[in-house]
Amino acid sequence: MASSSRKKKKNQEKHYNSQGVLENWFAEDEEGITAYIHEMSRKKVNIPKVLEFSWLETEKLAETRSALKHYKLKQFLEMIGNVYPDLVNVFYTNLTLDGKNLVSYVKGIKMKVTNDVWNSVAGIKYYGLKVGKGNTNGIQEFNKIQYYRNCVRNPSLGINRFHAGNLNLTSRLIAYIIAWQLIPRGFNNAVLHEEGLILLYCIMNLIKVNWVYIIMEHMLK
Amino acid sequence: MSKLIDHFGIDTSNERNETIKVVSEIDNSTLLKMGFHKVDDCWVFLKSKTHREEHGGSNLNNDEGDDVVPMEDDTAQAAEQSCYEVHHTSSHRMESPIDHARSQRMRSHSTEFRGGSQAQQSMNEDVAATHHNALVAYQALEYRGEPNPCPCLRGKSCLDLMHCQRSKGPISRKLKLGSNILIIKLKEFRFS
Repeated sequence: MASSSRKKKKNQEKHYNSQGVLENWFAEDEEGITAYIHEMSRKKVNIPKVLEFSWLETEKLAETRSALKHYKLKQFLEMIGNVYPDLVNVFYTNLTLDGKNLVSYVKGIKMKVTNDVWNSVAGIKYYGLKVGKGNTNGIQEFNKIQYYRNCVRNPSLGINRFHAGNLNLTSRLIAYIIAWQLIPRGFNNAVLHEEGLILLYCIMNLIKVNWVYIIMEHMLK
Repeated sequence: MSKLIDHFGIDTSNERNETIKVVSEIDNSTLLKMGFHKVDDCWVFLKSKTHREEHGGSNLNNDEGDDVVPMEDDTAQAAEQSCYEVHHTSSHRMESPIDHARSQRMRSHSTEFRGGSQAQQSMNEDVAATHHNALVAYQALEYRGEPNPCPCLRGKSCLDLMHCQRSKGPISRKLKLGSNILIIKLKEFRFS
């Protein structure tokens, strides 16, 4: 098994090298190419979901709409256009944190994602609570079990897992948006993670959170 | 990320790209998949099972009730036959010596029942078939488990429907057959 996998890797390297594509993507950075082949090349990039705010209005999902509008997430959630899976993988291969900003290189071009860039591309600002897994500073009253119970359709149900399927309509929809758009994780979206529950709590209670910080942290994971 | 790539003016010609498709949109179909349905311009959780429970009605009164098919006439007879067949099928599947011995016992019980008191059996069948409260819903014979134990002394091996009618009060038995359910309800039935 081990020898066959080694052969596969060698073949893969040969394949990439023969194409000359990687050299173009990484501007002949050998370290980047090696990291890409061994770590990122097999990772699948999820096609992001799109939420039309007009649909929320049409379907009279006012609570969800107003909660999301409060954060000015309209631009971010309604983003459409082309997705470049290979270049996204290249971006993540070279991704580092420089101070407070993300920095990466694609095709030799330095991409320094500053707060201004976030604002112009996604319409989100570096402002608000920096919450996350194990970090509930500013929302000390948050209790994930208690809050999950508040959001489920049938509170008398026993809680084995934080299953998204038990949530009521507004919470369910926002949890879906969190899991697929705001901090997409690409697997096990049916179960709410602690981070997702914290964000759900903040969104439902209109607590300002720092989306730039949260998304950056998620990208660096 | 792709937006950032566009923002920094990176050359994306000749690169593999995928347009965000219609299926990526969050819309009515997304909510339907979650189990929510639109009723009177409002989205409500309305899964078929929950719907039945919430409305408190039996499946038999439901127009859509395709899960359980009611039978009208030879109710008890059919149930009895199905019980026998289930039992018979299950006994063939047993392989270990203990299970084999158990199956033999069960087989002998059912043989006794079927051959032992023919007159009583036929009378009971007639009573059950004409009784309004006798209700049998039966779908398939796919056996996946033992029937619930009979309240009588015969225990699990007792598949005699009429036998339990001697006990006082309403009799309710459920024999789970995998996803299909055989429900036998004999309410306020007294054997005279």
